[in-house]
Amino acid sequence: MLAKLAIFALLPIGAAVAFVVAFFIFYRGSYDPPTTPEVPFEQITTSSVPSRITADLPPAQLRSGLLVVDAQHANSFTENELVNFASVVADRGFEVEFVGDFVPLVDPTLAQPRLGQLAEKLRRADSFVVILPQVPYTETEAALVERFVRKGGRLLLVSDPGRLQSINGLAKRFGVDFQPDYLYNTVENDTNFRNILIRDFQPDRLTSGLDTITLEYAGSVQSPGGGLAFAGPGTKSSVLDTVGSFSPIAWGDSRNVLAIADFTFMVPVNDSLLDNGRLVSNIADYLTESEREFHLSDYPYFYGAEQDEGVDILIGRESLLNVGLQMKNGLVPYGVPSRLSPAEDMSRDSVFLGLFGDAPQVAQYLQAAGVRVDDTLGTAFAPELELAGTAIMVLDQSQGRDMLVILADTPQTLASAVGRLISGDFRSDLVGDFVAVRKFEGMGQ
Amino acid sequence: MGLLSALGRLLINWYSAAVLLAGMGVAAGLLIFVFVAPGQPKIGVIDVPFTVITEDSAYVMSEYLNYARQDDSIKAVVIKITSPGGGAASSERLYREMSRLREEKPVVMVMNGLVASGGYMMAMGATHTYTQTSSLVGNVGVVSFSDPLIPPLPSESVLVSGPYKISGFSRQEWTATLEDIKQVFAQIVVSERGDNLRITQDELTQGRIYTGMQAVRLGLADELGGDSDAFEKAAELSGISNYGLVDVNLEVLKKFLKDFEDVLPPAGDPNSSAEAMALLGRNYAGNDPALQSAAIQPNSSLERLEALRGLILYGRLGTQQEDPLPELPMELSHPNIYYLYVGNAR
Repeated sequence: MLAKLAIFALLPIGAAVAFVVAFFIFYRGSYDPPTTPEVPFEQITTSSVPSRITADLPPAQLRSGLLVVDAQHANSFTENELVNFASVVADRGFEVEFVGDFVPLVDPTLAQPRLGQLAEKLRRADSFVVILPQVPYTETEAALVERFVRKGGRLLLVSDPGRLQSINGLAKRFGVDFQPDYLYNTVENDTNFRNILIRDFQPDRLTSGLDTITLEYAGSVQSPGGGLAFAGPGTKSSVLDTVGSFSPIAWGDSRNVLAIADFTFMVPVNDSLLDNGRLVSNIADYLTESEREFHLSDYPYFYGAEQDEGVDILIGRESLLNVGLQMKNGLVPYGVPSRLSPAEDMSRDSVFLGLFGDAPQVAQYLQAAGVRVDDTLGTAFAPELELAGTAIMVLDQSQGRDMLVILADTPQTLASAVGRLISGDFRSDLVGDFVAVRKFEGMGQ
Repeated sequence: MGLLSALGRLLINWYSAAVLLAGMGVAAGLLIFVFVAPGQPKIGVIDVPFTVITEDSAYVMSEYLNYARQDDSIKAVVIKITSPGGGAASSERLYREMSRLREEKPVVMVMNGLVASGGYMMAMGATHTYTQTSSLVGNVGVVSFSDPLIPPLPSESVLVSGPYKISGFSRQEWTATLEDIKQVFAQIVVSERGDNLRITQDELTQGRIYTGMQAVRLGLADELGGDSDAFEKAAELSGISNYGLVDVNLEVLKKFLKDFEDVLPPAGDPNSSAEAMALLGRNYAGNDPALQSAAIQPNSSLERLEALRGLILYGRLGTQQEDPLPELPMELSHPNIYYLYVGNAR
C-alpha cells in the first residue's frame, strides 16, 4: 500500500526536477547590484566675489571738456549700460555727448551727413570713446579719428568677445589688434571660468590703486604699446587653448589710445565688483586729462573752455564794422558769446579782422606764424603772393590764448573770407595747421 | 501462472503509472516554470534614437524604465541611446530612474553616435556602458541663458513683495548657481565612475566631448562594443542564459494604446482607433496641420506616445495658452538650465 502511495511522489519529484533543470538552463547566477554612490551635494557651494561701492577713490579733479561716445555704428550697447561711466566722467566737469543714435546706416545717401556729424563732434571733442561698433569704420571715418588722435585727443577703444562688433578696422590704425578669443580660467575665477580675475598690473596712472579686478568675458589685445593688465597664471585663450601672458587692457601705438577687450566691467553692477570701480575712475581721469590741440580747422572750437567767457572781435578800421558783425553773427550758432571790442585785451580770446594795411597792428602774430605782409604776401608755403583778391587767416596760440587774425586786400574780400570761415569751406584753404590762404578769383583791386 | 500474470500486469501498470506520473510531474514543473514563475528570462530592450531630453521625452523614457523595472520577466535591460542631453532637471530625473532600475536589474547602455551632457548624465545610472570608437561622449557642464547685465526698470504698476520676487536672483547669484549645478554634475560623474576615472574634475568640467575610444581610455565609459556585446554583458550580469528579448518601447506603446482605447467610446467600434487619433490630432495639435498629421500618423512610436500622453494624462495641461495669466501686464519667462551639447551652433 505504501509502495502504491510512494509512486505518487514521482509527480512532485518529476515537477521539481524539471523545474530545477529548467531553472539551471535559464538561470545560472544572480545579479549583484552595485552600490549607488553618495554624492556629497552639501559640500557644493559656490560664492561670488563681493560687490562694493568703491569709497576710497581719489577726489576727482574738475576740468572742462567734451567726451564724445560713438553711437553711429550700430554699437552693441545701450545708453543705460554706460550711465555710470558717463556719470563718473561728468563728475570731472566734462560733458558727455553721443554722436549718432545707435541705428545702423542703411541709406547710403546719408553717409556724407553722418561723416559731417562725426567730424563736427570731433572738432569739439577732447576724448572719443568707441565701444563695440558693429558697422565697421570707413577709411574716411577712421582717418578723421586718426587726425583727432594725432592732435592729442584721447581715444578709448572697447571690444568684447561676448557681443557683436567690428572694431579692428579702426583699431589697427593705432596698432591695436583685438584677438578673436576670450580668456578663461577654470581654476581661479569669479564663479565662472569666463569671469577672470586680474591682479598683475603694469605700474601706471591708469592702474594705480588696483589690486584685483574681475572681467566677465574678456578677450585679449595685441599692441606694440604693450599691456597694462595681465591675466594670471592658468588663464587660457579660447583660440590658442594654451596658458600665456594675455592682456585684456593695452596701450595703442601712443599713450593717446587705450584699448580694452571687455565692456562689461564698466556696466552696472559689474563696475562695483572688487576694484572695477577704481578702474572706471582711472579711465575717466585718463580721458579727461586729454591734451588735445585745437587747430585752425577746429574753428570755432579752438576757443575751447574759455569760450564761455566770450570772444573779442577787433576790427582794423571802422569801415569793417559790417564784417565784424558778420563774424559776431557767425559765432552765435555755436553758442560762443562775442563782442566788438575797441582794444585788444590780452587775457581774452580774440579775432582780428583787417586789411593788409592793418598788418602792423597784429605784426607779432603774423611773425610768429612766419607770415610777411608788404607789397606781397609771404608765407612759408607761398613766398610771393599778390595781395589782390587774397585773404589770409592765422591762428596764434602762443600767448596762452587763441588769437585769430584775418586779413584781406579789400572789405569785400575780407567779407568773403569770413563767409568761408563761418560756412566751414575755409578748411579747403588750409596750408598748415594754423594758416589758411585763399585767392578769390575776380576780386580785389 | 495466474500469479505471474498478475505480477506482470502489476509491474506493467506500476511502470506505466510511474512513467506517467513522472511525466506529469515534469510537465507540471515545466508549466510552472514557464507560466507561473520564473519563466524564460527576458532582456528588455529600450531604443532611444536621437532624442533631446525634454519634460515630454523624459516622461516617455521614464515610462520605459518603469516598465522594465516592474516586469518580473525582464531580468536585465539594454538601452541603446543617442542624445545630446537636454533639460537639466529632466536629465537628472532620468539618471535617478536609471539608478533605481540598476538597484534591481543590470542596466547596460550602448552609447551610439552622440551621448553628451544630459544624455551622459543618464548613462551614469547604468551598470555598464559600451560605446563605439567613433561615438561622441562627455560634454559635462551646464548651459543657461542669463538676464542682460542691466535688468529692466521696475514697473510702478506692478507691486512685488521682495527685491527678487520678479527675477528670483541677481545675475551674480545666477552665475554662482550655475557653477553649483556644474559641480553637482561633475560630482555625479566622479562618484559613479570612481577609480575608473582617469581625468581630473577640472578637466572633466571643461565640457570637452570625447570619442568613444578616448572615453574608454579616460574611464568615462566601460568598454568599446555594440548591441551584441551589451546583450552578452546584460545576460552575464544578471546570470541568465537562453533569454528572450522584450521590446520595451512596443510594450509601453501597447499599454498606452490600451489606456487610450479604454477612455474612448464607442467600445468595439472598428473605427474607434482612427477616430481617437483624429480627436487626438484636433485636441493635442491644435490648428497646426503639421502637428495634427504627426499626431494622427506619427512617424515613430515616440511621437505617438508623446501625442497620446498629451491627451490621456494631461489633457490640455502643459499646452500653450494664449493668455497665460489674464490681466498680468508682463510676459512670462523663466531661466532654463540645460545639460545640453549644442555643437558649434549658436
